[in-house]
Amino acid sequence: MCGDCGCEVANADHFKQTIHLEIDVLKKNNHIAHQNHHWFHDHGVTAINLMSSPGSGKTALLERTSREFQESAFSILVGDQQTDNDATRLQLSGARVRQITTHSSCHLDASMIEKELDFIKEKLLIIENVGNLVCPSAFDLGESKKVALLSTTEGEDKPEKYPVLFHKADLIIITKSDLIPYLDWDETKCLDSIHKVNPKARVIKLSSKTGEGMKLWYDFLRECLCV
Amino acid sequence: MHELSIAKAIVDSGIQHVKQGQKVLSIHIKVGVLSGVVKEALEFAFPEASQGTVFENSRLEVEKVALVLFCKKCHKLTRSEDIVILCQHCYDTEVEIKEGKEILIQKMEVE
Ligand SMILES: Nc1nc2c(ncn2[C@@H]2O[C@H](COP(=O)(O)OP(=O)(O)OP(=O)(O)O)[C@@H](O)[C@H]2O)c(=O)[nH]1
Ligand SMILES: [Mg+2]
Ligand SMILES: [Zn+2]
Repeated sequence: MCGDCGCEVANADHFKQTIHLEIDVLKKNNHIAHQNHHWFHDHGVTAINLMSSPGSGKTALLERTSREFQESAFSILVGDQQTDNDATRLQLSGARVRQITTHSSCHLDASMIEKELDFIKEKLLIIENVGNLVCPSAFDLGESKKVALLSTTEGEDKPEKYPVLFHKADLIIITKSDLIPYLDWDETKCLDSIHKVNPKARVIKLSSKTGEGMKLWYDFLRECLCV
Repeated sequence: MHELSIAKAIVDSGIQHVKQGQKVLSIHIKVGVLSGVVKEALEFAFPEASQGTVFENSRLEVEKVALVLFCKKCHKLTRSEDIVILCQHCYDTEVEIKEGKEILIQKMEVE
Protein backbone atom coordinates (compact mmCIF):
# COMPACT_ATOMS: atom_id res chain seq x y z
CA MET A 1 0.00 0.00 0.00
CA CYS A 2 1.10 3.48 -0.69
CA GLY A 3 2.54 5.06 2.43
CA ASP A 4 1.56 8.59 1.50
CA CYS A 5 -2.17 8.38 1.05
CA GLY A 6 -3.16 4.79 1.61
CA CYS A 7 -4.15 3.97 -1.96
CA GLU A 8 -3.73 0.42 -3.24
CA VAL A 9 -1.15 1.04 -5.91
CA ALA A 10 2.34 0.09 -4.79
CA ASN A 11 4.13 2.17 -7.39
CA ALA A 12 1.71 5.04 -7.50
CA ASP A 13 2.44 7.89 -9.89
CA HIS A 14 2.30 10.38 -7.10
CA PHE A 15 5.37 9.00 -5.41
CA LYS A 16 7.97 11.66 -5.06
CA GLN A 17 10.55 11.34 -7.73
CA THR A 18 13.60 13.39 -8.62
CA ILE A 19 14.25 13.99 -12.28
CA HIS A 20 17.86 14.83 -13.00
CA LEU A 21 18.21 17.14 -15.91
CA GLU A 22 20.94 19.30 -17.26
CA ILE A 23 18.95 21.53 -19.57
CA ASP A 24 20.01 24.89 -20.81
CA VAL A 25 17.24 27.32 -20.02
CA LEU A 26 18.08 29.48 -23.03
CA LYS A 27 18.07 26.55 -25.44
CA LYS A 28 15.07 27.79 -27.41
CA ASN A 29 16.53 31.25 -27.96
CA ASN A 30 19.94 29.81 -28.76
CA HIS A 31 18.40 27.48 -31.30
CA ILE A 32 16.66 30.31 -33.17
CA ALA A 33 19.81 32.42 -32.89
CA HIS A 34 21.70 29.57 -34.52
CA GLN A 35 19.18 29.46 -37.38
CA ASN A 36 19.48 33.24 -37.82
CA HIS A 37 23.23 32.84 -37.88
CA HIS A 38 22.93 30.35 -40.73
CA TRP A 39 20.55 32.62 -42.58
CA PHE A 40 23.03 35.51 -42.31
CA HIS A 41 25.84 33.27 -43.49
CA ASP A 42 23.88 31.91 -46.45
CA HIS A 43 22.90 35.41 -47.52
CA GLY A 44 26.37 36.87 -47.01
CA VAL A 45 25.14 39.21 -44.28
CA THR A 46 27.25 40.40 -41.36
CA ALA A 47 25.09 41.27 -38.38
CA ILE A 48 26.26 43.57 -35.60
CA ASN A 49 24.44 43.82 -32.27
CA LEU A 50 24.83 47.24 -30.60
CA MET A 51 24.19 47.24 -26.87
CA SER A 52 24.47 49.83 -24.11
CA SER A 53 22.59 51.48 -21.29
CA PRO A 54 19.80 53.88 -22.31
CA GLY A 55 21.16 57.06 -23.80
CA SER A 56 24.78 56.05 -24.39
CA GLY A 57 24.47 57.22 -27.96
CA LYS A 58 23.56 54.18 -30.10
CA THR A 59 21.09 56.04 -32.28
CA ALA A 60 23.31 59.13 -32.54
CA LEU A 61 26.18 56.91 -33.71
CA LEU A 62 24.00 55.29 -36.35
CA GLU A 63 22.59 58.63 -37.49
CA ARG A 64 26.07 59.91 -38.22
CA THR A 65 27.10 56.60 -39.76
CA SER A 66 24.08 56.66 -42.08
CA ARG A 67 24.99 60.11 -43.32
CA GLU A 68 28.57 59.00 -43.94
CA PHE A 69 27.94 55.75 -45.76
CA GLN A 70 26.39 55.67 -49.20
CA GLU A 71 22.78 54.68 -49.56
CA SER A 72 22.02 50.97 -49.23
CA ALA A 73 25.29 50.17 -47.43
CA PHE A 74 23.46 48.69 -44.46
CA SER A 75 20.06 48.18 -42.93
CA ILE A 76 19.09 48.81 -39.32
CA LEU A 77 16.75 47.02 -36.96
CA VAL A 78 16.12 49.05 -33.84
CA GLY A 79 14.54 47.69 -30.67
CA ASP A 80 12.75 49.80 -28.09
CA GLN A 81 10.13 48.95 -25.50
CA GLN A 82 7.87 51.75 -26.74
CA THR A 83 7.74 54.34 -29.54
CA ASP A 84 9.33 54.41 -32.97
CA ASN A 85 11.26 57.59 -32.20
CA ASP A 86 14.62 56.02 -32.96
CA ALA A 87 13.44 54.63 -36.30
CA THR A 88 12.12 58.06 -37.23
CA ARG A 89 15.42 59.71 -36.34
CA LEU A 90 17.34 57.15 -38.33
CA GLN A 91 15.06 57.45 -41.35
CA LEU A 92 15.67 61.19 -41.38
CA SER A 93 19.39 60.53 -41.62
CA GLY A 94 18.82 58.38 -44.70
CA ALA A 95 18.97 54.91 -43.22
CA ARG A 96 16.78 51.99 -44.22
CA VAL A 97 15.39 51.03 -40.85
CA ARG A 98 12.67 49.03 -39.21
CA GLN A 99 11.51 49.47 -35.62
CA ILE A 100 10.92 46.45 -33.40
CA THR A 101 8.73 47.32 -30.42
CA THR A 102 9.39 44.85 -27.62
CA HIS A 103 6.71 46.08 -25.16
CA SER A 104 7.25 44.34 -21.83
CA SER A 105 10.57 42.83 -22.85
CA CYS A 106 13.73 44.74 -22.02
CA HIS A 107 15.83 43.13 -24.75
CA LEU A 108 15.59 41.78 -28.27
CA ASP A 109 15.51 38.00 -28.62
CA ALA A 110 16.33 35.81 -31.57
CA SER A 111 12.71 35.22 -32.58
CA MET A 112 12.13 38.96 -32.99
CA ILE A 113 15.00 39.10 -35.48
CA GLU A 114 13.80 35.96 -37.24
CA LYS A 115 10.51 37.70 -38.00
CA GLU A 116 12.32 40.58 -39.74
CA LEU A 117 14.72 38.61 -41.91
CA ASP A 118 12.77 39.50 -45.07
CA PHE A 119 13.61 43.16 -44.44
CA ILE A 120 17.34 42.58 -44.76
CA LYS A 121 18.71 43.26 -48.24
CA GLU A 122 22.13 44.75 -47.55
CA LYS A 123 25.35 42.92 -46.71
CA LEU A 124 25.56 44.67 -43.38
CA LEU A 125 22.87 44.61 -40.72
CA ILE A 126 23.18 46.76 -37.63
CA ILE A 127 20.87 45.93 -34.76
CA GLU A 128 20.34 48.60 -32.12
CA ASN A 129 19.26 46.66 -29.05
CA VAL A 130 16.99 48.00 -26.32
CA GLY A 131 18.91 50.35 -24.03
CA ASN A 132 19.84 48.11 -21.11
CA LEU A 133 23.17 46.96 -19.74
CA VAL A 134 22.06 43.60 -18.40
CA CYS A 135 19.36 41.80 -20.31
CA PRO A 136 20.39 41.97 -23.96
CA SER A 137 23.67 40.25 -23.16
CA ALA A 138 21.95 36.95 -22.30
CA PHE A 139 20.02 36.69 -25.56
CA ASP A 140 22.06 35.86 -28.63
CA LEU A 141 20.46 37.01 -31.85
CA GLY A 142 22.69 35.10 -34.25
CA GLU A 143 24.91 38.14 -34.81
CA SER A 144 28.55 37.86 -35.80
CA LYS A 145 29.75 40.77 -33.66
CA LYS A 146 28.66 42.18 -30.35
CA VAL A 147 29.45 45.84 -29.79
CA ALA A 148 29.05 47.52 -26.41
CA LEU A 149 28.85 51.29 -26.02
CA LEU A 150 29.89 53.16 -22.92
CA SER A 151 29.51 56.92 -22.73
CA THR A 152 31.97 59.09 -20.86
CA THR A 153 29.13 60.50 -18.74
CA GLU A 154 28.42 57.06 -17.27
CA GLY A 155 31.70 57.01 -15.36
CA GLU A 156 34.68 54.71 -15.73
CA ASP A 157 33.62 51.64 -13.79
CA LYS A 158 30.51 50.46 -15.67
CA PRO A 159 32.35 47.50 -17.23
CA GLU A 160 33.09 46.10 -13.77
CA LYS A 161 29.60 46.84 -12.50
CA TYR A 162 27.90 45.27 -15.51
CA PRO A 163 30.54 42.77 -16.52
CA VAL A 164 28.49 40.34 -18.58
CA LEU A 165 27.83 42.61 -21.52
CA PHE A 166 31.34 44.02 -21.61
CA HIS A 167 32.84 40.58 -21.22
CA LYS A 168 31.10 39.36 -24.35
CA ALA A 169 31.73 42.39 -26.56
CA ASP A 170 34.04 42.10 -29.56
CA LEU A 171 34.31 45.85 -29.71
CA ILE A 172 33.78 48.43 -26.97
CA ILE A 173 33.05 52.00 -28.05
CA ILE A 174 33.59 54.85 -25.63
CA THR A 175 31.12 57.49 -26.81
CA LYS A 176 30.69 61.23 -26.23
CA SER A 177 34.43 61.90 -26.17
CA ASP A 178 33.65 65.58 -26.84
CA LEU A 179 32.41 65.84 -23.24
CA ILE A 180 35.68 64.68 -21.62
CA PRO A 181 36.94 68.23 -20.97
CA TYR A 182 33.84 68.90 -18.84
CA LEU A 183 33.99 65.70 -16.78
CA ASP A 184 36.37 64.09 -14.30
CA TRP A 185 36.59 61.12 -16.59
CA ASP A 186 39.81 59.14 -16.44
CA GLU A 187 40.67 57.15 -19.54
CA THR A 188 43.20 54.87 -17.82
CA LYS A 189 40.66 53.93 -15.15
CA CYS A 190 38.07 53.19 -17.80
CA LEU A 191 40.44 51.00 -19.81
CA ASP A 192 41.50 49.14 -16.65
CA SER A 193 37.87 48.45 -15.88
CA ILE A 194 37.27 47.16 -19.40
CA HIS A 195 40.34 44.95 -19.41
CA LYS A 196 39.44 43.35 -16.10
CA VAL A 197 36.36 41.80 -17.63
CA ASN A 198 37.53 41.58 -21.22
CA PRO A 199 41.31 41.55 -21.54
CA LYS A 200 41.27 41.24 -25.32
CA ALA A 201 38.59 43.79 -26.17
CA ARG A 202 39.19 46.17 -29.00
CA VAL A 203 38.39 49.64 -27.71
CA ILE A 204 37.71 52.83 -29.65
CA LYS A 205 36.80 56.28 -28.45
CA LEU A 206 34.64 58.61 -30.50
CA SER A 207 32.15 61.44 -30.62
CA SER A 208 29.09 61.29 -32.83
CA LYS A 209 28.75 65.01 -32.30
CA THR A 210 32.16 66.24 -33.46
CA GLY A 211 33.13 63.22 -35.52
CA GLU A 212 36.32 62.60 -33.55
CA GLY A 213 37.35 58.94 -33.77
CA MET A 214 34.52 57.99 -36.14
CA LYS A 215 37.03 56.73 -38.69
CA LEU A 216 37.98 53.86 -36.34
CA TRP A 217 34.33 52.78 -36.24
CA TYR A 218 34.02 53.00 -40.03
CA ASP A 219 37.18 50.90 -40.32
CA PHE A 220 35.58 48.29 -38.08
CA LEU A 221 32.44 48.24 -40.25
CA ARG A 222 34.46 47.92 -43.44
CA GLU A 223 36.42 45.03 -41.93
CA CYS A 224 33.12 43.37 -41.05
CA LEU A 225 32.08 43.66 -44.68
CA CYS A 226 35.27 42.09 -45.97
CA VAL A 227 34.98 38.84 -44.07
CA MET B 1 12.70 42.71 -16.21
CA HIS B 2 15.29 40.31 -17.44
CA GLU B 3 14.68 37.66 -14.80
CA LEU B 4 11.04 37.42 -15.81
CA SER B 5 12.06 36.30 -19.31
CA ILE B 6 14.48 33.85 -17.73
CA ALA B 7 11.77 32.59 -15.37
CA LYS B 8 9.44 32.10 -18.33
CA ALA B 9 12.15 30.25 -20.20
CA ILE B 10 12.63 27.99 -17.17
CA VAL B 11 8.93 27.17 -17.15
CA ASP B 12 8.87 26.60 -20.93
CA SER B 13 11.83 24.26 -20.99
CA GLY B 14 10.97 22.50 -17.73
CA ILE B 15 7.39 21.72 -18.73
CA GLN B 16 8.54 19.33 -21.43
CA HIS B 17 9.99 17.03 -18.80
CA VAL B 18 6.89 16.78 -16.66
CA LYS B 19 4.45 13.95 -17.39
CA GLN B 20 0.71 14.46 -17.40
CA GLY B 21 -0.78 14.36 -13.93
CA GLN B 22 2.53 15.07 -12.28
CA LYS B 23 2.99 18.02 -9.98
CA VAL B 24 6.32 19.77 -9.56
CA LEU B 25 7.32 20.16 -5.92
CA SER B 26 10.64 21.82 -6.49
CA ILE B 27 12.93 22.89 -9.27
CA HIS B 28 16.66 23.39 -8.91
CA ILE B 29 18.39 25.94 -11.10
CA LYS B 30 22.07 26.66 -11.50
CA VAL B 31 23.06 30.19 -12.50
CA GLY B 32 26.61 31.19 -13.26
CA VAL B 33 27.93 34.60 -12.25
CA LEU B 34 28.53 35.31 -15.94
CA SER B 35 24.91 34.66 -16.84
CA GLY B 36 23.85 38.03 -15.52
CA VAL B 37 20.96 36.45 -13.61
CA VAL B 38 20.38 37.79 -10.12
CA LYS B 39 19.23 35.07 -7.73
CA GLU B 40 16.86 37.28 -5.76
CA ALA B 41 15.29 38.78 -8.87
CA LEU B 42 14.72 35.33 -10.33
CA GLU B 43 13.07 34.15 -7.10
CA PHE B 44 10.88 37.22 -7.25
CA ALA B 45 9.88 36.67 -10.89
CA PHE B 46 9.24 32.94 -10.74
CA PRO B 47 5.79 32.95 -9.09
CA GLU B 48 4.45 35.23 -11.80
CA ALA B 49 6.01 33.23 -14.62
CA SER B 50 4.74 29.93 -13.23
CA GLN B 51 1.13 30.99 -12.68
CA GLY B 52 -1.31 28.55 -14.22
CA THR B 53 1.40 25.98 -15.02
CA VAL B 54 2.58 22.79 -13.32
CA PHE B 55 5.18 24.96 -11.65
CA GLU B 56 2.63 27.03 -9.78
CA ASN B 57 3.53 26.85 -6.07
CA SER B 58 6.64 24.77 -6.68
CA ARG B 59 9.74 25.69 -4.72
CA LEU B 60 12.47 27.35 -6.71
CA GLU B 61 16.01 26.64 -5.57
CA VAL B 62 18.67 28.80 -7.13
CA GLU B 63 22.29 27.75 -6.84
CA LYS B 64 24.93 30.30 -7.73
CA VAL B 65 27.91 29.03 -9.69
CA ALA B 66 31.21 30.85 -9.34
CA LEU B 67 33.48 31.63 -12.21
CA VAL B 68 36.05 28.91 -12.88
CA LEU B 69 38.90 29.78 -15.20
CA PHE B 70 41.49 27.46 -16.65
CA CYS B 71 44.79 29.16 -17.38
CA LYS B 72 46.24 28.13 -20.73
CA LYS B 73 49.69 29.20 -19.58
CA CYS B 74 50.18 27.68 -16.12
CA HIS B 75 47.31 25.15 -16.37
CA LYS B 76 45.93 26.08 -12.95
CA LEU B 77 42.33 26.80 -12.07
CA THR B 78 41.10 30.11 -10.67
CA ARG B 79 37.81 30.26 -8.81
CA SER B 80 36.17 33.63 -8.33
CA GLU B 81 32.85 35.10 -7.24
CA ASP B 82 33.65 38.27 -9.18
CA ILE B 83 34.01 38.56 -12.88
CA VAL B 84 37.69 39.15 -13.37
CA ILE B 85 39.14 37.44 -16.39
CA LEU B 86 42.62 36.85 -15.03
CA CYS B 87 44.62 33.87 -13.76
CA GLN B 88 45.21 34.45 -10.03
CA HIS B 89 48.36 32.31 -10.12
CA CYS B 90 50.40 33.74 -12.97
CA TYR B 91 48.26 36.81 -13.83
CA ASP B 92 47.90 35.79 -17.45
CA THR B 93 44.69 36.60 -19.33
CA GLU B 94 44.83 33.60 -21.68
CA VAL B 95 42.15 31.73 -19.78
CA GLU B 96 39.28 29.49 -20.72
CA ILE B 97 35.96 29.82 -18.93
CA LYS B 98 35.08 26.42 -17.50
CA GLU B 99 32.11 27.36 -15.37
CA GLY B 100 30.07 30.46 -14.66
CA LYS B 101 28.15 31.03 -17.90
CA GLU B 102 25.36 28.55 -17.33
CA ILE B 103 21.66 28.92 -16.67
CA LEU B 104 20.64 25.28 -16.18
CA ILE B 105 17.73 23.31 -14.86
CA GLN B 106 19.62 20.81 -12.77
CA LYS B 107 16.78 18.72 -11.34
CA MET B 108 13.11 18.70 -10.46
CA GLU B 109 11.23 16.92 -7.75
CA VAL B 110 7.82 15.73 -8.97
CA GLU B 111 4.97 13.66 -7.66
N1 LIG C 1 27.74 65.58 -26.53
C1 LIG C 1 27.38 64.45 -27.11
N2 LIG C 1 26.11 64.01 -26.95
C2 LIG C 1 25.76 62.84 -27.53
C3 LIG C 1 26.67 62.07 -28.30
N3 LIG C 1 26.04 60.96 -28.72
C4 LIG C 1 24.78 61.04 -28.26
N4 LIG C 1 24.60 62.17 -27.55
C5 LIG C 1 23.36 62.61 -26.88
O1 LIG C 1 22.97 61.66 -25.91
C6 LIG C 1 21.56 61.52 -25.88
C7 LIG C 1 21.16 60.07 -26.08
O2 LIG C 1 21.61 59.62 -27.34
P1 LIG C 1 20.89 58.47 -28.17
O3 LIG C 1 21.63 58.31 -29.44
O4 LIG C 1 19.44 58.70 -28.26
O5 LIG C 1 21.16 57.23 -27.21
P2 LIG C 1 20.67 55.71 -27.36
O6 LIG C 1 21.77 54.85 -26.83
O7 LIG C 1 20.22 55.46 -28.74
O8 LIG C 1 19.43 55.68 -26.37
P3 LIG C 1 18.27 54.54 -26.24
O9 LIG C 1 17.93 54.09 -27.61
O10 LIG C 1 17.15 55.26 -25.57
O11 LIG C 1 18.85 53.47 -25.38
C8 LIG C 1 21.03 62.44 -26.98
O12 LIG C 1 20.61 63.62 -26.39
C9 LIG C 1 22.22 62.67 -27.88
O13 LIG C 1 22.19 63.88 -28.54
C10 LIG C 1 28.02 62.58 -28.45
O14 LIG C 1 28.88 62.00 -29.09
N5 LIG C 1 28.29 63.76 -27.82
MG1 LIG D 1 18.38 54.67 -29.43
ZN1 LIG E 1 48.14 31.04 -14.97
